[in-house]
Amino acid sequence: MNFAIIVASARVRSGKTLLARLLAENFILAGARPALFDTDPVAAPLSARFPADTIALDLERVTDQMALFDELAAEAANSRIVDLSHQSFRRFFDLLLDSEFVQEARANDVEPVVFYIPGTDAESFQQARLLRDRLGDCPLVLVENAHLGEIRLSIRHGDDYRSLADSPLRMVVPALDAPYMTLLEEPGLSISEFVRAPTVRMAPDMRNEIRSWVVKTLGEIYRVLQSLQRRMPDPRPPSPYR
Amino acid sequence: MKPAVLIIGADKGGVGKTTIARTVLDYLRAKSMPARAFDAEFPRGTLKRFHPGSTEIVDITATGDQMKILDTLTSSDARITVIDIRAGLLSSTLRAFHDAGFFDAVRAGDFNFGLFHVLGPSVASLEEIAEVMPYAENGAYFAVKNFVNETSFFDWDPAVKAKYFERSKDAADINIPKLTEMACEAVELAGVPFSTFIGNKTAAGGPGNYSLVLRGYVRTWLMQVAAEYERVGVLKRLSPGETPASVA
Repeated sequence: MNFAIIVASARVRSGKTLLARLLAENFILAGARPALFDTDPVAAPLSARFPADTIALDLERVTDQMALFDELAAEAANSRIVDLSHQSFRRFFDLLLDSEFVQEARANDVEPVVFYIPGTDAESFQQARLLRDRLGDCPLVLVENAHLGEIRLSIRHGDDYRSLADSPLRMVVPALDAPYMTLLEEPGLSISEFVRAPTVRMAPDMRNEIRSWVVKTLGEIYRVLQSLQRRMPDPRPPSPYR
Repeated sequence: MKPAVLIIGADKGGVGKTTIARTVLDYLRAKSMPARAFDAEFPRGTLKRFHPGSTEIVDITATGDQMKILDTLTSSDARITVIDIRAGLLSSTLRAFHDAGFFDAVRAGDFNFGLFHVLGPSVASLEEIAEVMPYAENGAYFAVKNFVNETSFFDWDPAVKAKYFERSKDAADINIPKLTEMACEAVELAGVPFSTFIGNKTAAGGPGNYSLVLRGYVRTWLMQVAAEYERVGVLKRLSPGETPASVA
């Protein structure tokens, strides 16, 4: 079983690409080679990081919509990760829900899942809940990105937040001080390399801070993916018609 | 339910009349309403290509073929007979049917009649309406604007529209929404009814292997078209005064 992971947010600059990158590294560290998709064909941030493994698409174009969804639903040797740009958000989910994408992906042993990063305001959580309800049995993982700021207590006590928080499909991207984050975002720095055998020279305490954050965040990702895998019904026997 | 005749015509070519006829056949099938179709695009028949089982090709200018349609209205299992008239032949066909006594029979209550008048985007359409609408005096008239190819239509002047529409007791507007070009083309290429394309099957019933995304587009569009037909009550108007139970 492989995943078709969609990293989404209704807002700009919410940490989608960072999360997509971490998800990719999670699979890479496990020895796999995930297929990645940029939906911002101009900035194409994932393509910059993983040039050999990323396809950049423009979801305004029907041909690119077809390329993305047909690919995401197809049988796979690896998981796939889509960095869903804020501009493409609405069109993407309309397409996902108007077509038989989820059904067809599952028929090919591909499990779609949305990792959704809300903002910190009440409306964000309302939108998250609406999206989760729309998605039906396609799971939504709520990702709280600590870099976006504190979520006020009044919001945490609200219905939307509580309804979303009451699920094992939740994770946190913890805070990492700005100078360390800047280093992590350097073009030359590969997270998997950093974890295995770092080649970039840096002061030991800096290295420890960053390593600690990476391990914690990858741990969150691993936990959630395991949780998703456990929910899966027993794999269907191979279709006699293939 | 009394047999009903639904004529789908246009006085201008290229307005998407046959596309609309195809959606009507899918709609009637979805509503479990037995229907048959006559494709007056003699001899080539585009409608027959897509709905071969339910369509017969006729030469609507030939009296013999006109009789073939009209004489079998009561005997046919189909409750609704859809006739896709070749572009430019609408007025003359209506006249021929009139001369054959069809509209007298409609007035006498033997049959129900509906007209899907597929309009072109220019103001000249208003004159076509004036010419054609009188035939629908005792039936249902539907002015159909086809936005499938995103043509922009002139805006109806409310006073002018009222003047033209008051002549039919039962006139309605239908807007067929746009369907993205690649999806249209894919269905054309597949040569199957819209519902079959959505079901990802070929005409023979095998796997269609059509794009997931294009199937989604067609499905959403066909649902919007069906919603329009529901909104204006196409079936109800083709069987006025009959109880809902007798109409699917």
